[in-house]
Amino acid sequence: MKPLAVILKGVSRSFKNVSIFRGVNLKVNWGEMAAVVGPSGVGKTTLLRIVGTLDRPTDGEVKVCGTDVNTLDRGGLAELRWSCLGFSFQEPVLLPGLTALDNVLLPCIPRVKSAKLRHFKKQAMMLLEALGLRDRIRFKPHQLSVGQKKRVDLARALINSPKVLIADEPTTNLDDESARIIAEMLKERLEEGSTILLATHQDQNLLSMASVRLGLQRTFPRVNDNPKLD
Amino acid sequence: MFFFALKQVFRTRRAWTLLLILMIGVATASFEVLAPIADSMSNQLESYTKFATGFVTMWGGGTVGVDFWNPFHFSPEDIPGSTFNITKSLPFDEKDIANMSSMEGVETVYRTAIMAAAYTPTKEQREKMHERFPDIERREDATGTWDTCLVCVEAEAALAGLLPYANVEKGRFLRPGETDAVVVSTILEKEWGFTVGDEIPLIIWNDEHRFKIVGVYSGLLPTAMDFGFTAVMELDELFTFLDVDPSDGRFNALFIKVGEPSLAQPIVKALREEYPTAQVHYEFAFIETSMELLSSTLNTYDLIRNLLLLVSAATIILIRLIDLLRHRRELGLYMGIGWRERDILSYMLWQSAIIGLIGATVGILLTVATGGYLSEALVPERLKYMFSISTQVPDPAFLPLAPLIALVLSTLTFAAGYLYIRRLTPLKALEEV
Repeated sequence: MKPLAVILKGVSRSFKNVSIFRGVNLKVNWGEMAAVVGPSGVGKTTLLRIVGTLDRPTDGEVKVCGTDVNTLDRGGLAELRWSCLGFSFQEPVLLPGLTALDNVLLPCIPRVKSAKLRHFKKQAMMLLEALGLRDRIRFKPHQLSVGQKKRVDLARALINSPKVLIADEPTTNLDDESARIIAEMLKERLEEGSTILLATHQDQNLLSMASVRLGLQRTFPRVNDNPKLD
Repeated sequence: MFFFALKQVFRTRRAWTLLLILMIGVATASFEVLAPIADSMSNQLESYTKFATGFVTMWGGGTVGVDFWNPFHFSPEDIPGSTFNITKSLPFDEKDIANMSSMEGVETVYRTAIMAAAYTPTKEQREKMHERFPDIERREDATGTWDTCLVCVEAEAALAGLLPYANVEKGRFLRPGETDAVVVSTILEKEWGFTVGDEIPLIIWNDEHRFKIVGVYSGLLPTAMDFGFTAVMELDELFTFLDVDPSDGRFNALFIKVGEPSLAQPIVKALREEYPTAQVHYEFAFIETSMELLSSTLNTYDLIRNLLLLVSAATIILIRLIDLLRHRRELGLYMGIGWRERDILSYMLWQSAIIGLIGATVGILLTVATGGYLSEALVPERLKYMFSISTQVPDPAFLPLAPLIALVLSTLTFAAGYLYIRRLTPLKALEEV
């Protein structure tokens, strides 16, 4: 039986003895979209970072793409990020000296031989085009709006065709046009069979696409409304 | 990865880091420029000190021109109104020398005649000198010749006394009885382009004589007796040219070799009383003090140079580390998007090496380009004639050393960066600094 795309079992995270969340459980099947919802400060971003292997839980089990991330060393985590995951940050992190295209290609620099880089370059251009940035390919981050930066960040998360895409508040604080384009891209990916885990404040459009919802609240215990979780 | 690191150096503010490292490199190299100048001054002053310690010098008058008349066969009637007087211009004879030799503490008295000989410059030499010294015309006579200082020494003096104190930089000194040969000063070599093996034509008593240059020296005589464009020949050969029996010779300079510096003072006193018109020098005390001053200056130079090198090294490392801290989010991003540790380390290594090597290379090129000008500007013209100052800058030993230092510093910085990276998690690195 094929393992699930994401499994969280009793995951807790605290900083300096202050608990952010405790005992979170979640199962996401391949090809599903899961949405982590809740007000600001409840740990949506922290949870996504744990799934994205950028952070480790204080307690609990995290399995992504069938791999228990707690057993992986730094090298193993890097391999998992490249081969399975794509992470779109809440605040887009783009390198200021690089163009939009170069920023999208960044994950490929050490991994892809120069002969094959052309293929990725073509793919990056297609992604940027699909995200409505055809005429902004050579623009540097300071020449882009927040919505455009967010789209570049999403394109970078998709460049390695990740099996699991993690998007942190992909449409929050964006204009309608940017939010619509991003939602369409996520929908398209979902239809193509990608697994998506996203955090959102209250984007009904995204929530309607999600088959799994994980609600995080300020009070404990956190509620997991995943009906498939035992 | 190399090309990405190279592009990143110029895309980001690391170009400013590069510029800073370059400036530190130039500042360090500038002190390397001072070192050979100070060293050559020190070496020559040291040899001059030995000369001043060993000899009392007597200078009896102005340099006698031998290109228009023969002083030994000249009578004032030949040129009406002439004030020329052979006993005034060439005041010492064999009787004086016998008198001096009998003084307590005097070991030997060496005879020297310092004359002027005419030299007809080539077109190239004339153009070069006009460019270097716009007032050269004052030194040219109506026939368009230039004066050379012809120092005629006893070959024995050269071997026994003067030679150890003369810095023969190329070739050799004169051999006893050697004819048609001269040793020339480094200034004459530098300015007129003569070197060992060349022939220099000099006009002595209206006849042109060709001398083979067998050596190039520096630091032979006190500057009062040697105005720089000097050729040294054997004394007996001069008397042959002038058709004078050596026993009838007269001299305008004497080198009195004394055994002990303590004995020199009464000798100088006695000579000054007996020859009131002559300049009698024993410059040991003066030179000794100058040497102490110079030595202290050189030590200060060395200290500043070494400190600057140390501070430069520390600054380069510090700048790179600050740069690393400023770009922490960048490194966090690389981790977050799946770069392996070795990818990040390879990126950092390339970047350190590129910055270090470009900085060192451009710094060296700049120093080579500006070093000559700097040393020209630092050393006064007059000093160049007093000492043969090396303007070969920077020190050739420094050239291969600079990229090596840069590479070592890059590796050190890289090692420090590696330790830093090892402790970071992507989340920590991505935090706002």
